[in-house]
Amino acid sequence: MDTSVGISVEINGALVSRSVPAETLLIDFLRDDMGLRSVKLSCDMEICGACTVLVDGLPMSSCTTLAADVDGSKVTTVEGLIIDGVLDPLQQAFIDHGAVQCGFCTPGFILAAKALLLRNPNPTRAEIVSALDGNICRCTGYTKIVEAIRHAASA
Amino acid sequence: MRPDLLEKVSGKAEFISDVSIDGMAYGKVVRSTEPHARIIGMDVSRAEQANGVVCVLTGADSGLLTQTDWGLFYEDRPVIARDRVRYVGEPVAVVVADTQARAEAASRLVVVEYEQLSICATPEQALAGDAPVLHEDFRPISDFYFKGTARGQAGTNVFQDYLLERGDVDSAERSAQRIFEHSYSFPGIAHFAMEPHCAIARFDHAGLTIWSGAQSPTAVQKVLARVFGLPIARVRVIVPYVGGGFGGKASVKIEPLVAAAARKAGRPVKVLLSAEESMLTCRRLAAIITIRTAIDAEGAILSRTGDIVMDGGAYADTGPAVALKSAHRLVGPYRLPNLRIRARAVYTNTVPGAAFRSIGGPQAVWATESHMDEIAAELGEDPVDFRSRHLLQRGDEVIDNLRPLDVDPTVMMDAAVEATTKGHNHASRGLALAVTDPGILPVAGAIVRVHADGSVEVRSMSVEIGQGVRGVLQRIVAETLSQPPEVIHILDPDTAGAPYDWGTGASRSSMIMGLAVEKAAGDAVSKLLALASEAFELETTAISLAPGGLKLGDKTVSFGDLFHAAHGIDSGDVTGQASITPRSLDGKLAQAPLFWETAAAACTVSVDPDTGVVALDTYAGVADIGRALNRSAAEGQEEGAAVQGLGHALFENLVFDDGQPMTAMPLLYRVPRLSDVPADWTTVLIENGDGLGPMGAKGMGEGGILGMAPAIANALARDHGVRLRDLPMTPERVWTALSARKWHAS
Amino acid sequence: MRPDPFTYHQPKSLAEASSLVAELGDGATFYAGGTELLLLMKMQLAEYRHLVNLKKIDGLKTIGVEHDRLVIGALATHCDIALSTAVSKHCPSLSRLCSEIANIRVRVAGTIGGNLCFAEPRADPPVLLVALDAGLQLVSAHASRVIPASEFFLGPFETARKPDEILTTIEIPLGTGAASFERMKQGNYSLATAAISRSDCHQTWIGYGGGPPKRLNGTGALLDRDDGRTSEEALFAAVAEDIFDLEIPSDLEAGESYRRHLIAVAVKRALASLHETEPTGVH
Repeated sequence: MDTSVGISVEINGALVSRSVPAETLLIDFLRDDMGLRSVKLSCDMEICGACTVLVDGLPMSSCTTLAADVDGSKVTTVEGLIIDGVLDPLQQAFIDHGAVQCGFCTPGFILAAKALLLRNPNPTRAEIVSALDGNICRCTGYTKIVEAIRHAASA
Repeated sequence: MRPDLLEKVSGKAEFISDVSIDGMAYGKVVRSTEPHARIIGMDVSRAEQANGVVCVLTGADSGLLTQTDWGLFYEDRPVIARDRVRYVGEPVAVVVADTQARAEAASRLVVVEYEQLSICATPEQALAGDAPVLHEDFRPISDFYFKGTARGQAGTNVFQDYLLERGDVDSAERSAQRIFEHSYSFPGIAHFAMEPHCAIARFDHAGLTIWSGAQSPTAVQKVLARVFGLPIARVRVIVPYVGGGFGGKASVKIEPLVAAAARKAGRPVKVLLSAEESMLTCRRLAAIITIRTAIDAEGAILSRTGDIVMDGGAYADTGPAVALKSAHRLVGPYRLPNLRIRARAVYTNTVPGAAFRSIGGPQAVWATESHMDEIAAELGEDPVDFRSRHLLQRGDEVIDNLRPLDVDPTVMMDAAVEATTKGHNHASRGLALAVTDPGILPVAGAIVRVHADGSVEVRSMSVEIGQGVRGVLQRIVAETLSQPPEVIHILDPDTAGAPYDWGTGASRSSMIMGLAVEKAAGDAVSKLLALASEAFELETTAISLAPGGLKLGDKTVSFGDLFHAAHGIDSGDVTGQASITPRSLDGKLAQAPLFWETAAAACTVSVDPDTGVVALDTYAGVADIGRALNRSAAEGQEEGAAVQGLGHALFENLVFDDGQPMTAMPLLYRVPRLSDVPADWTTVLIENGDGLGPMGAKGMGEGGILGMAPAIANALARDHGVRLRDLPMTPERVWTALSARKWHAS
Repeated sequence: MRPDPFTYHQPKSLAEASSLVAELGDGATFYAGGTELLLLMKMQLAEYRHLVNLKKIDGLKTIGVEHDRLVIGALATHCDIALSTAVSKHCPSLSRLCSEIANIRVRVAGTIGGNLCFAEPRADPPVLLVALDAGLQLVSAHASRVIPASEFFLGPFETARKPDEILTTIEIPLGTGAASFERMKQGNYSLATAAISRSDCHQTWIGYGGGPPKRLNGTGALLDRDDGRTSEEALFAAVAEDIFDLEIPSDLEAGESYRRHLIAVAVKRALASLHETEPTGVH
């Protein structure tokens, strides 16, 4: 029996059509088939947010999403936030505010923050906390991440 | 600006888990399900026949190894379990397959038959007279990774027994007016680095190459050379970006196992642990600490004794050093005329203990700073005043024969107090101070190579693990060479090209590697000037470096021009090289510690009386770092360390029930989240330029973790009337204490 | 971690989906948000050879008011519900609950129907929906029925749904459709939850992590008599008596007596928020 599924996805602006085994996880599809290594595997159980990608502008855990589930959707990773070589204001703010240490959680944080700013361009601190509370950073203590997001929002 | 940040925000940074090698297979580790057992049978045949499986490494393959057991203080740890396992999670097999998914699937087909042995689940059990002995044969090795030898007692489970003594405690206690004694406990803590352990090993004609997320690549190199009977020159260790370590990737962890799998597979093998497996690989040592202080009629401290028992887990790793440092870190920045602190570390049938940010520090400071407040409360004195009466001053001796104190604890305490006084009730504040002696070996080397196009490569073994070391080294080299930072390229640490360095940890890299690259860049400057002097027939005094090249009087030439003039073609390079040793800086680095890593922390908390949930409302952390080489990175180190402290203060606890890990899983192990961190947060960096490092910097990055837990406990005691002596201070524990107090009062 | 291989079915109708699961038997299950199911399959705690995806079936995500009911499609995600103006108008406690489930990624992917059918005893939505007197519509290829939420949850991970039945809609009566809800949560799951209906009879339901939502009759009766002066002591005593025989879990996260206390606190707070908020029944 053929267990493959045909999917058609817009990934960082480029349309991709593939046939993948049904059980293929989105993270493996993005990292191994698409070479998008910014999508990081950490907790592997939807807790930490390191594998966050945007699906139609909403943050999802790619470790626990099937590639088949994003058929017909737009998927964005941090690589896709760079337009014509220019960083997204969030990416720049993370640099400027030292909101990055080891950097392993960083793509997930930036994408979760991007999703927040897409629907709420001027979030309060409480709204930032609510949107980012599911992303774990073990290095920074979060203070500079909040600073960076507030700065990017006000810019 | 840190050169790594652009790569990290844009997704280009290559971490060890992103690295692929041609021909690479994937290994999945099969782990012991028993805390202590004899392996009486293992059936790998179904796994071997599974789709895509290359081979299965087991203890039966020990013939591939020149040395079957390794360690840092004792050669107590088998590369792979042979006939016995000592903790749940110990590797018993590695299934190697052509894909990760197939390796995972086949690993479930390995069947292991165990015969259970009686266990030491806790240090108390391990110290009991009839306890099973986990390691019958003690093989200590001296000066191998840390200086010194562990003082274990063969035939027991005690693998370190250290005594720190000053004066005569017994007489002091006999003459005391009052004696206070309290016991505190500190749990095992997972490092929880976001990137789990990962390594790739390849054997080829050149020897063994290993790519690893290692904090101590040269220790990995040394151990692998012994395990596989190779010359150090034939073992190459390469370290790309590492997704967090905090000590959990220091010394040596999974590399011998991964290399053994590659040896058997006959092709490169990558092993990427799951987050859960990383939690079964190492942890902070749990501790039970009893501390006793004698006070005279005037309320002055006469003496202090401490008894520290640390749960070292199944293999010693660097536990002996952790125990020793815990004794030192129990002292505190106080005048203590008489002192007797005993620190023991014992084997138990649990995940091996290992280094973790400020080894032994959080355990000791939790006890000593809670105890200080308890004494002040008993004496009816404000904790700030009580501490003030005993505080050491700059230049005082903390521990005999160590470097005199190089900070002003009063200044630090005052800064923390001030930051948490604004708008708060004075009596609600919790305070904690700490003074630690980083165990830094002042040995490092670096190479700075200037190319004809003006680009500069820096080769060092310092690992970029988030602390920003590449930015610091880049800045130092740029300033020494008078070049813009963007032409300075810090290469991935690679033992094939970079000189020996002890490792990335103990707050040492900015300082020690900073000095090494500064000196190596200086060496490059001398060589460039000498070459220019020859090529252009000028006195070296008439030549200086300028962005992009050199200034010859009022004329500027590029590096290309220099090599053209010197070599006839516009190619070539100049290599500056330098080493730092204990004799460097006129011997100033010989005395330990190189600096005192100190901390002052103050906070206010609120408590939900219905549930016992504690919320941190305000926090201030103070560090004396000599000089901030990168301000936001330095603040980030302090903040991140303090939030890790918040984790063990309120949430984190690696629980073992009869040796079974109960919380070693991301779903069950609660680390601090954004909502736990208050908006009212102050980080104070004291900069007097008085460190021995570049530009007067001291090391930093560990102190911030020390004060949080006792500061919270002290705030809880002062403001809410409950004293907690066990970490973490969970809602249930706080509620239970509140209830007991209410019952007591009624 | 990866799930074992399976076949992915994408039916276009409820009848087709139901028939597929009926034909394929034990090795098949419905698949919606996947936040629980995929995790279990990755961890090898659940094994299915066939996943029948419900997400391509039209109409299962609709949220709106029909007559005297708030009707929520079972495939609506927690995020959809949290953002729905109809829900925030008629059932603000459900809005709030759905905006606080797990983390934002789980709220984006996870569906209300999946949550209810999974019947995790520590989940919050069952307690509130029972107190709201919600009806759950179950559809198979040949039949359709609506059962009260209070009869749906049978035990931990156990519901009244037959294997080939699909939960399609959750219907909340508007007249009695408001209730207050509080939960005590410290880790990833709630330790105690309580919901009190605003109807004349103060139906009081709790979640305690050990089984389906439990109705507290004595406490409800006490609240019916409440003249606004019920003491905390009396309330806690009533709750304690109601849950006296209940088998309360005790584990590393929290011991039994603490959990019993938290249940009372949850009831107390649900009562307080009931008093604070204006009724929002039919207008």
